[in-house]
Amino acid sequence: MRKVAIVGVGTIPWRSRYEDYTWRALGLQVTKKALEDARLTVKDIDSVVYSIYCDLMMRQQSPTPLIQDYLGMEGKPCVRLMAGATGEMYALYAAFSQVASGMADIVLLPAIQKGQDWYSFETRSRGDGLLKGFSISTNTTWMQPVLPGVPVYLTATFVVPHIEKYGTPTPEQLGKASAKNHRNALVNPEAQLKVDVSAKDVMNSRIIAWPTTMYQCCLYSDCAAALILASEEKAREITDTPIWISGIAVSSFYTARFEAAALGRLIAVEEAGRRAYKMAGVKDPLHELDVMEVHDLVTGCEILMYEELGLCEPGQGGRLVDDGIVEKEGILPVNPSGGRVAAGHVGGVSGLYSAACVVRQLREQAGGMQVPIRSGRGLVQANDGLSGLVGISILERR
Amino acid sequence: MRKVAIVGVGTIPWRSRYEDKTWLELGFQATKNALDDAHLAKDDIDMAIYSTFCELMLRQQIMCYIIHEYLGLQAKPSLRPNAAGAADIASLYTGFCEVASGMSDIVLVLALQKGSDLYCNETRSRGDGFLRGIAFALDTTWLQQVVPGPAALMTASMLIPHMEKYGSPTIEQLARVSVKNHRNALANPEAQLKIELNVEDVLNSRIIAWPTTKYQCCLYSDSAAALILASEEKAREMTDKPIWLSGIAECSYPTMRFEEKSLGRIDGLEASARKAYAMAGIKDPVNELDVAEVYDLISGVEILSYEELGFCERGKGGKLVDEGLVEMSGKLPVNPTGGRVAAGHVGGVSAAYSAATVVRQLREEAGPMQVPIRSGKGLVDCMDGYGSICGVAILER
Repeated sequence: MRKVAIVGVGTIPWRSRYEDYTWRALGLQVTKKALEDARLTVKDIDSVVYSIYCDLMMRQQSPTPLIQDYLGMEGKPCVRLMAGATGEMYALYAAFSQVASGMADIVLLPAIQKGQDWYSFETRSRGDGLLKGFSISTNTTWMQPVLPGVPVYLTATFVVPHIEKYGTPTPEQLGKASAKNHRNALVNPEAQLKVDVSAKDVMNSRIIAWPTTMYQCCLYSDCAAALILASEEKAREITDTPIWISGIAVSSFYTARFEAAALGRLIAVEEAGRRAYKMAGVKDPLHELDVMEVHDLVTGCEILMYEELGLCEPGQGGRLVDDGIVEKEGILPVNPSGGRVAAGHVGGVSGLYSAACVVRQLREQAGGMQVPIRSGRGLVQANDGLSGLVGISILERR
Repeated sequence: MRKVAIVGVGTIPWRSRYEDKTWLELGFQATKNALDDAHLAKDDIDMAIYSTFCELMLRQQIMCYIIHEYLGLQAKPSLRPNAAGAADIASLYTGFCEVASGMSDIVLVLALQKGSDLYCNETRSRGDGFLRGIAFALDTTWLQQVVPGPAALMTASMLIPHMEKYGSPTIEQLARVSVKNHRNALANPEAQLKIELNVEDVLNSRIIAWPTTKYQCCLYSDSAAALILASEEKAREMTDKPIWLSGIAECSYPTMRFEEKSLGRIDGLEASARKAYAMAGIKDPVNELDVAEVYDLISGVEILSYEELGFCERGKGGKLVDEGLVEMSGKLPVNPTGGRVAAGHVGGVSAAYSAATVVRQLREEAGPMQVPIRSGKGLVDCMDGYGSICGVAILER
């Protein structure tokens, strides 16, 4: 298997709505930025792998050939990977395979999504239009009619059973973790939401589904991000700081997750994590990783993820928050970008944005967000709204 | 790059509608058939790749995790490539990379699509519902409002300019290709449409967009097809007749196909064929291939494809029909299954089905559809109905 590196990243600010740009224009912007970052041109790209979560919301089925054309990539192979709101990690996985196999040397990986061109006539709200749009990603036969919404589902299926079993995360720990991410976002020039909230502010904000409050829920945004992957030979020609994809895994697990064994567990995260760590040779993530960007769709899930990703024993995730281990100044900073609650979130894009952030961290180009780089390894994790589809990647600078 | 073989194939009959089965059941059946063919169990599968052109038609966005769980593969990796109507070749390409890279040893590629659960209230027709559904794959900003349908678009942008330039295909040649495929389908137990037609019948059938008549248009179906890919090491353990994917390529080309240089052409097909032939070491396709399954979304496209695939010079595709080269008894039988006009068609599945049938041809297990196998090489092509993504795969024994 050939080695694969990320040689270029392109991101744009997260906004709740890009009213003046079409989805194609957003894709173009991040593609241009990634090409500039890698000092490459359109001609250098061998193949394109797209991550577009929901074509419905962009009112364009099968958008791939159209954007391929728009980006000047016609004639090259193109494929779009879909896996719910974590399609981007599956796209990364497929792009990795294309390079690792030798079928392509340089692959462009754009992720694009606009959700806010929708509108709910009943409530006169774009946000509600978006949430309705999301709901058809759930099992339309069994779940969609009864599902009250992603934050409620995640809280009920994962956070609350975990609290019942271990007594944590406590509301204070949730408040602290959310406050951490909001504080981190203050120095992220691309973050959508820059508010300095304290743990108390978080706990006092509107209840969504106890104990999840408003500031513990992810944002909803329009955004795009692009990565450029290259084979080892090309990567060494292109840049002095290739960031290697030393581990990558995707997992897909259970849509109706109400068996006792699955409550309170993010099994797909553990499963994918185990495989990614094995591929990358990581045995002690807490001490071998410098930084992590994970999907805090609700803050409770971030804390559960510390456990599933092997940073601590089951039930001890809350302690990592109390001890400051996951703060920017701690041993293993989690979500220095602000995460999904403060930087921004839209399915199909967030994971690649996280990857771009980790690339910049490892290159020591993260500006105000920079954390100390000691071992040169970072982790990127993304999951869909039901946490049934997960992708994890270990990035490494050598 | 590791070698990749197809070690199992599973297909089900093409039907205009499987009213008594959900899309999950169609996928399940095809998968079971493929596992049986490969003598494998589901636990042997390392990862799965799902090909579905349009999940909207299934009324289930993100169909991949649902079928994944239905098949009992939860927790294993899965991917779902989407490339408009060429999702099947894109999935085969993705599966190839997955095995060739070493990421997985045994990969299930499952293609499935139901289109007939849709309904057009105005015309009270499922078929119209289906056609409307696929129209969303056109550029909804520029094209959807004005394009009357894939048959008309292909006739206007590919077939007619070609006829104007070369005087061919003639309407008789178009009809003969359709007659060939309908006759071939009579021997295909899975074919959706089994009728004996002659040239008159085809020419007299309802005009869709001159010169394309009804019997020159592809069918619309529900179906599923599954392939099991394996690394060389595993393939040799599993079977005496691994069929190697010796060449595969996929490419996109402009969607606004109204530039001079693209009229009368299926550019993406030529580009894909060139790459696939290079990868497989094929220099003289007509003499090196034993069989080809070529997308006849309209009969005119089959004839143009002969040229794009290098079976003859530009403008001479019609002659291959006149000479009988592409008949079952000819040097390079094309579409022994009946092709898209007679076996069945739905985007995202047909090329996977074609690959399965070429595997059977090369294994010499094709029953009444069997063609002589001399060099042991076969070709499968694929194109989206609006022609913007194409792919070619070479299979070899």
